[in-house]
Parts: sequence; structure tokens; C-alpha cells
Amino acid sequence: MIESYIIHLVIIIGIYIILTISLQLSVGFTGLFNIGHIAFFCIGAYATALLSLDNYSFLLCFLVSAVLSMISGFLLNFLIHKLKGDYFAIASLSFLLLIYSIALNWVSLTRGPLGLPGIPRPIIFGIDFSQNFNFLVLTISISLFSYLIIKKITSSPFGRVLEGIRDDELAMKVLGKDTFRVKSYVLATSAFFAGIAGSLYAYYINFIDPSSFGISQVIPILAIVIVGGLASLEGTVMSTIILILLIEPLRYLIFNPSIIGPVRQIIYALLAILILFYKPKGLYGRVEW
Amino acid sequence: MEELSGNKLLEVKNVKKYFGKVKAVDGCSFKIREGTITALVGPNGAGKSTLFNLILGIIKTDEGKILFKKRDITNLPPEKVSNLGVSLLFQQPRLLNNLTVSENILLAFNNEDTKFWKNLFSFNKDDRENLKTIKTNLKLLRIDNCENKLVRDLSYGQKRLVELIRTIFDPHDILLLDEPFMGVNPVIKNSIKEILFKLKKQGETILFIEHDPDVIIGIADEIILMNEGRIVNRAEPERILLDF
Ligand SMILES: Nc1ncnc2c1ncn2[C@@H]1O[C@H](COP(=O)(O)OP(=O)(O)OP(=O)(O)O)[C@@H](O)[C@H]1O
Ligand SMILES: [Mg+2]
Repeated sequence: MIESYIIHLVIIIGIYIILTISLQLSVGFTGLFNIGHIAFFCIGAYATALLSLDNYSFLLCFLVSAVLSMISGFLLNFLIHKLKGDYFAIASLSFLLLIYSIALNWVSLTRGPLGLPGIPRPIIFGIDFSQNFNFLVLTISISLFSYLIIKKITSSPFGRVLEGIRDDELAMKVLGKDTFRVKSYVLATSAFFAGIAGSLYAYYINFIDPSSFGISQVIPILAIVIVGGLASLEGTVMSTIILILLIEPLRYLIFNPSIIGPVRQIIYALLAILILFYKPKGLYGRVEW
Repeated sequence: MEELSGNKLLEVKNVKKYFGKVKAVDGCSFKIREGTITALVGPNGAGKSTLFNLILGIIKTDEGKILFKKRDITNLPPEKVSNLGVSLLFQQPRLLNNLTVSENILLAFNNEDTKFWKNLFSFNKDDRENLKTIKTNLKLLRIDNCENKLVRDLSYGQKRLVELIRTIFDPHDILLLDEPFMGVNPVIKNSIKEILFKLKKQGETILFIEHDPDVIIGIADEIILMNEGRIVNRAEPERILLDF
């Protein structure tokens, strides 16, 4: 019982780490204040759900989820790359609203609010991932892979350009950097990994509906990024682990299930605000908000 | 108006830029020849910085043409103008405060750092060579041992020097320097003078904005005098400064 709960927590943490470090890549490293990150997660989850319900293989579902999200990240950048700061944030939020309302209203495809139940866990090379322990190993491997790729991107000279764009995009242009192209890669990569997280999430929970991809879902991941510290991957991983361990078990303290969601969001939001007030660099960040 | 010999590198033709009723640049024309050092002089609000912004494509012109190496660069985006060989030092400091001195300067060397796949799969060999170059140059300027400091921890004058070095390392055929000496102490001022003299010896083409006759004489080959968005005079330094 306790063992299976721990496995559950670690899987959730693994999926969230992919989601938050990919958000850190765009928000913290590049200064693209993307409030719509959950949209990519949504696209990845629905792609996997729909395809796997049609019995397509894991590899195909997984790759299609990642690539579809990636393309949407690329498109989002194409549409809103000229916007800065608050305007970029609001435009990315609109993008989330768009994706969310598609999930909610394209009933013939997504079954709308009823959601998609019965998503089968994959079997890869004869390994059955309906065993939670096996799924745990899969999740950890994929999170580790995601972490290493994003770490390599941000610690290479390319990462320097990202921080340059965050701090002064015009200065980067005057040094000859094609910042549009760079930002395209960033949002596409960020979306790619969010799509992967979405795919894992759909497989793991076996059921998805639009409520997992609304605006309210943005609060936890943004809070984690803020608490972890701007442009710190280590901090993001740490804060994902700490916050989820802190907040997830609340369900055992609160007996009214309908208020669990709002209570969690309030706690995430309060933590983010407290950090912004008292430790603006977050746990590990070098840079102030 | 007389002109020095040499191929013309930069040509500004009747360029205009109005901000509402403010005629910031109002029919400005001049040429810069290769290998010359020109000081752009004029009162506050004459339109000097705006002119630089127009050349870089940071703001769009209302009218007129800008040619660089015989190419029309009017309203080209800044990264394209920069990559054609125009390097700009802004009037206001624009270093990246959250990066170190050497990281700031490394950004100037080339654009390999914008290549996603190359950076994902390679092991930054370029940086090591460039870091050596940076180190020796900082030493020459007597601000060594600061290459791993965050820019935010430097003094104003040190920042100005580092930003000037970054501008110079940005591959270029012309340097546009917007008040490089502004607000620095006499020691840094001398360092910057030294740099400019060295560049002059190397035959670089420079257009710089400056108010102080003291620095202009000895460095500049000629002066362009700007007022109310127009070039009102052009001559060798000694002549104009007498009327100043
Ligand atoms: N973005 C802008 N919007 C509105 N007005 C502007 C803008 N930029 C410059 N101006 C105006 O254009 C005029 C020229 O400004 P500019 O900065 O080019 O002068 P300058 O010659 O560089 O002056 P200084 O020696 O003080 O740096 C000024 O009246 C200024 O207020
Ligand atoms: Mg100026």
C-alpha cells in the first residue's frame, strides 16, 4: 500500500519534472513568459490517448505526441515572437484557451467533457507497463533523458544566447544573432518535452479529460519554476520534488474531494508569492525576477 | 564640403525620421570613407543616436536611403546589418548583467552559438581559443582577473570598457560608437583612447559620437557637425572646433 503510493508519487514527480524543466527552458532561460505551456502537455496527452485507443504502438504514440507538440510550439513562436513580456504571456495564455476549448468542444474527436477513458498502458519488447514499477522505470529514464538534453542545451554557447535574449534581445540582434530562429528552437524544444510529459501522463492515468489542461493547471508548474529559481535546472528539479511531496499528500488530510484542487492551487500560488517577496532568486537561481 | 579619399563604405542619403512632431533626423546625408575616423558632433537632441539606430535598422526610416558597401541596407533588421559588418556601441550600457565578462564578450565572436543542433551535439571547442584571446586583451587594458566576474559586479567604467571590447570583437567593417567616453573616469578614458588609437593604426573605419574636443583632436580625421537632424558642417577637426 505505502509502497505503491511511493511509486505513484515518484511517477508523478517524474512527469512533472519533464513539464517544469521544459517550462524553465522558455521562461527562465529565454525570458519567454509562456503561460500556455499546459497546451503542449494537452496536445501530447490527447495525441497519445487517441492513437493508443486505436491500438497504435507506444513508440508511434510517443513520437507523434512529441512532434505534434513541437510543431505547435514552433507555430506559437511564429505567431507571437514579436510580442514581449506581458503581451507574450497573454498571447500564450490565449493559445492555451484555444487548445483547451478544442479539447472541450470537438466532441466527435475528444468526447469533450466526458474525456477519453481506457487508455491502455503500453507493452514494449514484451515488458508490460501496466505494472506500476515498470512504468516508474520508464518515467525515470525519460525524465533523465529530458534533463540531460535540456542541460546540454542550456550549458552550451546556445544557452548563453538564450540568457542574452532574456536579458536584452535587442543587444543580441545588434551582435548579429537571429533571435527569431533561436526562439523558434526554444519553444519547439520546450513544447517537444511537454508533449512527452503529456504522453506519459495519458498512459499513466489511463483517462484524460479537458479539466487536466485548464488555466488552473498552469499555477502549479509556474509556481514550481518560480520557487526553483530563474534559469536553474537543478533548482527546478528540487522544487518539483519538494512541492509535490508537500502538497500531493494533502488529499489524505482533506476529506471533501471537491476542494482538494482549489486548496492545492492556493498553496502553490502562495508559495510562489512568498518566494517572489522573500527570495526573488528562488531556491537556486542566479537571476532575479 | 570636402571629403577624404578612399572608397566610400557607408552612405546616408537624405534620411528622415520624425517622432510625431519631433524631427529627430530631418534629411541627413553624408558619406564615410574606408579607413577614416569620423567624429559626429552636435548638441543634445540633435538626432545623433537616432541616426545610429536608423543605420542599424533598430528603428525604421520614414524616408531616404542607407548604403553600406554599396548595398542598400535601409530598414534591414539589426541582425542582418550587424552581420554585414556594422558594429554598434550603444549610448546606454547594454551588457548582460547576469552573465560574466567573458560570456558577454564570447557572444560577439561569431554566430555559431545560435546553431541549435551543433550546440546540442558538440563540445564547445570554439570557446577555448576565444577565451585566450579575451584574456590577453583584458590584460592589455589592465582589467585582467575580471573575466569570470558577473558584469553586474563591475564598476561603470569597467562595464564601458568591456562593452567596447565586445563591440570590437563583433566582426565588422565599420564601428559606430555612441559616446564611448561618457561618464568614465580619467583612467578608463585613457584606456579607451589607447584602444581607439590602436584601431586607427590598424586602419579601421570608425564613426563615433563625442562632445569633448580634447578626445576628438588627435583621433578623428574629420568632424561631422549635426544639428536639428541635419549635417550642418563637415571639416577637419581643428577647423570646426575653432568655431565651437
Ligand atoms: N523613440 C523615440 N520616441 C520619441 N522621440 C524620440 C525617440 N528617440 C529620440 N527621440 C527624440 O529625437 C530627438 C533626437 O534624439 P537623439 O537621442 O537622437 O539625440 P542625440 O543627438 O543622440 O542626443 P544626446 O547627445 O543627448 O544623446 C530628441 O528630441 C529625442 O527626444
Ligand atoms: Mg545620443
